[in-house]
Amino acid sequence: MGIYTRIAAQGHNYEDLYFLNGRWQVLGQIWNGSEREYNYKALRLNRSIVRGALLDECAKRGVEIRYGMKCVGVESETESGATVKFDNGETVTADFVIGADGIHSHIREFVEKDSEPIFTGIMSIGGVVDRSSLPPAINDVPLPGFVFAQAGGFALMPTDFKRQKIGFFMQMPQADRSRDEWTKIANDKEELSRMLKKYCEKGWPDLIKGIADTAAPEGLTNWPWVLTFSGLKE
Amino acid sequence: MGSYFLGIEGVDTNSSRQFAVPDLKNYTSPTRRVILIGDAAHAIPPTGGQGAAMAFEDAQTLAFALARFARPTPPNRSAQSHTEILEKWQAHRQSRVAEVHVFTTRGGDVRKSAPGPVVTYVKEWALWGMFKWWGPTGGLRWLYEYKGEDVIGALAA
Repeated sequence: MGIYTRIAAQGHNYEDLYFLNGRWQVLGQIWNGSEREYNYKALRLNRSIVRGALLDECAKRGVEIRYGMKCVGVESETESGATVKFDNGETVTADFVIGADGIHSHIREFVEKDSEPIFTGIMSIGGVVDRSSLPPAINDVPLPGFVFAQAGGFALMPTDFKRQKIGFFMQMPQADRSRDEWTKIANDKEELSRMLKKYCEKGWPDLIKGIADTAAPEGLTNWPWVLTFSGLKE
Repeated sequence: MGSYFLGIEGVDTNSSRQFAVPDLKNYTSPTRRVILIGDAAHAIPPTGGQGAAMAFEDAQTLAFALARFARPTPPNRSAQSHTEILEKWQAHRQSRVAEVHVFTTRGGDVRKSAPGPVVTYVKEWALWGMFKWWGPTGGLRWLYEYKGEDVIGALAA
């Protein structure tokens, strides 16, 4: 569709993914993508760019999109179609209903009752830093790279074409909490920053500790890892 | 190879569920008129960087599947119903996602913290050995060589 060529110019194209220890030694590398082997390099970029490109293409093809409506679930289905309901009371019947509404899907409940996402006990915190704000030592680090140290793992992955914006993320054990509490912590950027700093307090090279200490809290995001099962509620 | 989880709290560790690959029994409703794709169908932890890739694969293969019965059937072929085609699409995708789940959950353990510097050192050597053994593909050719067109054969079978 030509979209790939357009978005590739806005993201980081690469092939090797490096695995490093806490002393920056390379433990190994693998191809995350390969033009020669797989016809494509790996591409890492901000999802808003991908979303924008897809929406542009939809507009070109006359695909109708209605905003400001929240689907609350599937009401019913027949051999010839299904009906969905929205929070403003409106219902829409179509030949097919495709639920692409993510981890907390409202459509899933109709397809598989009793299937809630199960939290795995692990949460990631991540953000982006400018290469220019880091000590020159960053230029000696092969990127993208996963660093393994005693405390766990820490990833550094450039996200722009010129490799100047370096995305980072780590993972840590976390207790489960309610949906509201998860929303609360997602918005509490100062708390995310505190958790990140604490994780990087000991056992990490200075460069990574520096990232944790200086990364702007408002740019941090968290990701509770969940899995979906059928019929776990008994 | 087994497929163990990343310490899921609240799940009885003695039950056989611990070793089941997480996934929904169905991505489609009984009449196949309601279809799930992406994280709605199969939430995947970010360990392998595969969540978005799986979503795109779902979308592309679903497009092929929907196109199949939306087009007129050639005269020498019997028409497939939408239910038949979507059942095959679902089976094809569930098996692909199951493989990726196994790969994803396997990688997570290595990122946990080690109890001390000796274990860390041993872990480093184990990792080094593993990468040396795999070479640059990392044993992941199967992951990257998949194409959306792979579903077409499955739909025709």
